[in-house]
Amino acid sequence: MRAGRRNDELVLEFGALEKEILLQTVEIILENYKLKPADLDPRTAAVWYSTRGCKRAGMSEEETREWVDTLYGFKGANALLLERCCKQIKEIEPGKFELAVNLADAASLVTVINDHRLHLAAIHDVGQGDMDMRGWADEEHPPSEKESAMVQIELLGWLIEVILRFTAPEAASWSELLEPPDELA
Amino acid sequence: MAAIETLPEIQEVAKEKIEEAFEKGWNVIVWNDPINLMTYVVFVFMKVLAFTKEKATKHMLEVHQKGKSIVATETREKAELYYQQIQAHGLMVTIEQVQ
Repeated sequence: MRAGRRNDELVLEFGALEKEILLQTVEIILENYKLKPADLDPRTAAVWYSTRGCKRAGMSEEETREWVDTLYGFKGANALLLERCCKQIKEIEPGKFELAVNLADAASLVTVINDHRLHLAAIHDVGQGDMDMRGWADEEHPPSEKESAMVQIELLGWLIEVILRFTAPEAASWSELLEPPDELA
Repeated sequence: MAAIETLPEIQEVAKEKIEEAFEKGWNVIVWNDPINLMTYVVFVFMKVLAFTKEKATKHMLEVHQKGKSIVATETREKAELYYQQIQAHGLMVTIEQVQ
């Protein structure tokens, strides 16, 4: 995959396989965004629409309901962007793929991709230990569903890094602020 | 014209509510989680809280290394706004009254 800027657009170029993966991902996110919080997989709802903070803040049931409704509204706004992306991906001629997103929308795209990573982690119970381990131990057998989900989480994480490099270079270069290790200093 | 008299009790409650509304007595706390990328967290802090790159990085590293970071201490209303915006970006966040 390659990324670049063209005027006020972020342009992502993909291969055929990457295109299929992205289309599938966008369709799943879109489907989940349209579901009301109560109809969503409870594991995903617990992450996307967590009310833990509301309880800690002492919000009433009504305030909490309004809170969740507002979050649902945010997802709905991003769903419009996804629908545009989905249409664009489907209209591309076979074998080629280029997704152009307005720079103003790119930040929302990053959040959308991140939401899908959170969803995958929630439904496959991916925790810190899994993320630290990376890859799968037995190369002779096909990866389990959880391992496939972890690969997708990694891949989408890489996509987020690529997009941020073009749309939020300041944030993407935060590691430059770290002091180099002693041996390099 | 006679002055309107208000029950002292009501005056006291109203005063407390006004003070509470303007008091920066609420912490916005971001918690560590294994999925959100460090770069993404810096991006969200810069976007939502208008932090500089340096401040965003400092708080992100605090979340990563210590498990949580107080990213703002605000009035209840402003803290709720930050809470909602940060959660909408997928980070784990809570607000708590300053002890």
